[in-house]
Amino acid sequence: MTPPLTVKIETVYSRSPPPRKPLHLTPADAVLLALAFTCVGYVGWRTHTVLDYRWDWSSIWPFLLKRDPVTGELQPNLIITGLLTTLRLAVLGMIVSGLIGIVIGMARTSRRLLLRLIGSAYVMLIRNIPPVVFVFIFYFFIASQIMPALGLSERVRDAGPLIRWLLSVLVGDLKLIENFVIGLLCLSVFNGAYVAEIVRAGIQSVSRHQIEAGDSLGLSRGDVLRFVVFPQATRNMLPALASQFIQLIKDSSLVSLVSIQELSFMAQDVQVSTQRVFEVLIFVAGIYFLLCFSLSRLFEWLERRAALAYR
Amino acid sequence: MSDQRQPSVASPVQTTAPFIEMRGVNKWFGQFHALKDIDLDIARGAKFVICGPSGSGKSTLIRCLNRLEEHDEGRIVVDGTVLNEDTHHIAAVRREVGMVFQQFNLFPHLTVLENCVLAQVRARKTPRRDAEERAMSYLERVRIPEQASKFPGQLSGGQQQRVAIARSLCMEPKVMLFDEPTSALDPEMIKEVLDVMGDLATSGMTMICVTHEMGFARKVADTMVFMDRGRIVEAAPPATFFSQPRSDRTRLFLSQILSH
Amino acid sequence: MRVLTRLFGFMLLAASVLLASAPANAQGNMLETIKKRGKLQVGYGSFVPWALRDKQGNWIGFEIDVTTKLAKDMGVDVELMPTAWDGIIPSLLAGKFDAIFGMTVTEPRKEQVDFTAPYSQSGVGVAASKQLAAGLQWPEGYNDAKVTFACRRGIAACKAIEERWPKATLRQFDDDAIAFQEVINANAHAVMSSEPKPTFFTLQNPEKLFRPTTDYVTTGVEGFAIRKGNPEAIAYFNDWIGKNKDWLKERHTYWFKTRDWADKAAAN
Repeated sequence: MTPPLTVKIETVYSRSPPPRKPLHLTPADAVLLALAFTCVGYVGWRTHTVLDYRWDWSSIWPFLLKRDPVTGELQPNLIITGLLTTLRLAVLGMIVSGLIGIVIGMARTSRRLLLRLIGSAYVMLIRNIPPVVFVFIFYFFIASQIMPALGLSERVRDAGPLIRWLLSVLVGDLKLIENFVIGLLCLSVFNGAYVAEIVRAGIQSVSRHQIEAGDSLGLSRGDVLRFVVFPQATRNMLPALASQFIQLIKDSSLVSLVSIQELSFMAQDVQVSTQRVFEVLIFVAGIYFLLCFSLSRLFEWLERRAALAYR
Repeated sequence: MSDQRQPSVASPVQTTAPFIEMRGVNKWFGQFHALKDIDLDIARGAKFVICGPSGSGKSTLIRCLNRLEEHDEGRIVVDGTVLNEDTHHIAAVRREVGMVFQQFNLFPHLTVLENCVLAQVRARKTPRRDAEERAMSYLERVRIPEQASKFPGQLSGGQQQRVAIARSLCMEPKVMLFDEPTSALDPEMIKEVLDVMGDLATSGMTMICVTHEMGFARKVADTMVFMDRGRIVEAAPPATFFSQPRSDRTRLFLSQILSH
Repeated sequence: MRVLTRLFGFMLLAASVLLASAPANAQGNMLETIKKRGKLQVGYGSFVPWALRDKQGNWIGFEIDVTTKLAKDMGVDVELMPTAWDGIIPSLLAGKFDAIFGMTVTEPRKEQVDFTAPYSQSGVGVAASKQLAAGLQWPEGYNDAKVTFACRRGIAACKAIEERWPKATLRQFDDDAIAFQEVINANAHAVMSSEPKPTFFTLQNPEKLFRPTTDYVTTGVEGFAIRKGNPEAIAYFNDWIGKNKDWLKERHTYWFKTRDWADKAAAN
């Protein structure tokens, strides 16, 4: 007979993990930091000694806000007006390019060959043209044909006060509505191609098994997309979308080439008028940085929230 | 050509017209011939267990029954509906057929309850309140009503698979397909899933299970089907199947999986 | 970048040719179109002292004075359409506006647009770096591979440099002020730009810049540019220019020879 198995029973207990090791600098870190400081310092010193430039920031400030000579009200001046246009371009551009991206992205993953071909043709065409060239082609060859046919300015002139008010919130100065819409379309059509690729990758990142589960439950194809694929795809798309939308904000400066009066265009005017090139450039770069940085923080927050929903 | 095929396999409890009928079904993946001349009749209320070595076509066979795979030749009829390109037919069949997968395939972004409610509301147009009620009753049947508000990622594999079963049952299918439902589970969780499947069999559900759980098969199945290289090699009631397999292939397979 | 710039130039040229061969909607009698619309639409780029912003953000400048008076005399409003200079001719051809004001008349431009009689004379002046160019003989010494010129892209001065100092390196910038800054920083030997800029910059940076010559390097004349095929409009504008010769001269002197407007403008 085998001896009885003796099992030593200990009191089950748990305790907290040992404290984490504190962060400390390794010699390699120190060297890296020193190098970084040296680089920054050197650039600063070169700028100070070699670039012979009399800095004068004071001429920028009047272009932020102005006081109406008649009423004395504070009003946005060129830079703020341009910034507002850039913000509108960015927000509406995200929406429109998002819609384009969803439609084309779905077409790219469609089971129908024709839809796939149309989607691919659009993406390939846009992705392989430099943005600057695209802006010009779009402005002179496409927008010039479409906009007069739409007769947007006339329609706006004849529109009721409520619609005019709504539109002015959306696009700003109604006299420049055609100008704005061209810029918006240009930006959206261009960015839509990249968003479409992100949407395609997002849809394809959702496991085939998920679609099969939806199919086997009798969900329609549309419902499978809407309730099963998209929610999961969106979560996978967030990091790439964040980059793309930041890119969109920066790309919005390209439409200044075709005289859309956004931040860069206005900044150019201020540069020429004040002759303070570097101040304006640096200031505007700072604004773009703040915009893009805020957007990336927003997306980080969204990602964290999306991650929470799973756990 | 049909004369060359093995005799069609009929379930012992067959009464009138078969509930599911497969005739001369062939399926290829590229050059690979996955299903070869499959003939199979399954009666309402039957419990089929399909076994065979991996790559023998078991999963493909049941996946053809709700058209997750398209068969290339032959005829499949489910409860009087012919499966073909017609999307209405496909939808009609999928309404009748529930499926449980090896990897559970729960929707990770929805709670357990929402997993069970979604298809009821969208595909069956059940009012949400009724759908939730039914979902809860099936979650009770699979013994995890307390997990209803959790996300699938918070559950163990066994719990997830039971939710998957409840999700399928919510659609009140006439037949349930199980595609290796316990293969991805840790050993201590296999039993809880098999118990639920046993209950379901007792309730009279038509079931077609691809599984290697031979204990379960002996207890529940009324017909054992052995497949090899895309063919149905043998089909028999479990008593004969386990004690007197007709083919050498079956005997070899059984000796391999029953030896441990 | 160079390739891109060329491609870009090619695009603009292609746009011009295509648009010129198939003129846009604004066909027919241009003057009537303007009167019917009640608005004279003018395209221009910001360029001191032609068109610049005052501290309120409003447009001022020689060009603005001229357009305002012309529109008033025609009995219509003026619609100012600030346009990126790079694409201004294609924009005109595409019918975005009626005319470009204050455009220097050149042969290549004449192939794309029609000009009115000149109403302004401008000269391109030069400013040079004291550090780099003090020892150079004007103008022969500057025709040397070691010499670098700076100018603003797309203006007549760039063309003049290429023709008269073919051996020198030419660097083009999007902005006049940057072109001047390059010379102040001794990264380029000399910069050319329409007067009065060379004068003003040299006055502001006496220790860095000097004038190798105060003569105009090239002179140019400016007119209104409009789409081809509008002889009646050209005739009308020419007539207006003829009648307002003295007023134009007075305004030109105010904007180009004095700095009386400096306190209105944002520049200091």
